[in-house]
Amino acid sequence: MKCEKAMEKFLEQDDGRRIPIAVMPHVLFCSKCRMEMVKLSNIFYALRGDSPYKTADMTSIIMRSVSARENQYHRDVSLWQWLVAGAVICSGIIIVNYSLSFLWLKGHFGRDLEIPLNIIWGFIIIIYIGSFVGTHIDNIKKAIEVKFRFKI
Amino acid sequence: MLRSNEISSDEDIIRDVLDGDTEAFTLIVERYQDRIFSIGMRFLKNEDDSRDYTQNLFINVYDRLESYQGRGSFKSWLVRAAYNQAIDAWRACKPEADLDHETEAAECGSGERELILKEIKDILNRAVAELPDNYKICIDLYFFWGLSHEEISNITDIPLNTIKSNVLRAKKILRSKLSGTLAEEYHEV
Repeated sequence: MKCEKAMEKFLEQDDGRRIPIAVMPHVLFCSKCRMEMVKLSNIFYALRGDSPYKTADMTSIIMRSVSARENQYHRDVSLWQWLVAGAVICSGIIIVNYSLSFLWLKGHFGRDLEIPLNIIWGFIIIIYIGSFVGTHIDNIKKAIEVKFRFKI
Repeated sequence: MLRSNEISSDEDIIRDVLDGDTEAFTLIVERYQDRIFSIGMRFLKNEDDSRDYTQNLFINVYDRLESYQGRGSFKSWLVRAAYNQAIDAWRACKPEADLDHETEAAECGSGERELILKEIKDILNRAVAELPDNYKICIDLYFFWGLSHEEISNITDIPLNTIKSNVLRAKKILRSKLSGTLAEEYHEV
């Protein structure tokens, strides 16, 4: 393969960092082409990330406008994650009654254990429901307004 | 969580922004503002309009971030938005061409590497001077944004073969004009 043809094949390809397989045998024996291709690859690579024009730094102006936007993004806990958490809490309340430690405690304290335990379960359930309602208050309000046709 | 600009990918940064870390968007702005500004300059030909265009583009991109659903690279998505907005801005104002301004690449510092890069960019600018504006954009998208021929064709709706032949022509001119320049003497740019 002649030098011009090899260089043509090299320049035609999309990725300027690679030497085409068809050209490699020529490049192995032709140091002139090899050096020129390496040089051009380096130049093509150096241009990436650069730009034909530069501007004064606009980051602070842009971020001021972005921070003032009303629609700021936030992480949402998906409904599936809420349901799974609720299922874990309910399962825990049921399963603990059958655990060896609980049975020992019940044997030791008898019915005196029930009230404090139920208070604890009550707190856990209130925190769960309260968190859900608090993080979905807008959706709940909208759903009530649509269902019962009055504005809250 | 704000990360180092050099380490995080665009997609990681966007994920952080969508999770509520608005400040992470700073990294995207820092990374792309010059190149977005350059797209503005190709179409609008003046710095003030291009700065307004750049600011509006980033604000629009932030507003529409949820519509980037991770299909393809964020860079392609950003370039598509930038290109479409540039076309709209150009249609709104139809600026006069300023060839002298167009052929001079930006001053970019006084180090040796910067001088070499300026020389290369000047050669590229002269190579594309005869082309219509949207073809110049294709050369920018290839060399400065690192997009493939196919990506550029998808964004600009210019036929793939046209993109390939324009890019090849620019590469050949770059190769021939580099001889005798500073850039030719150095293998590591």
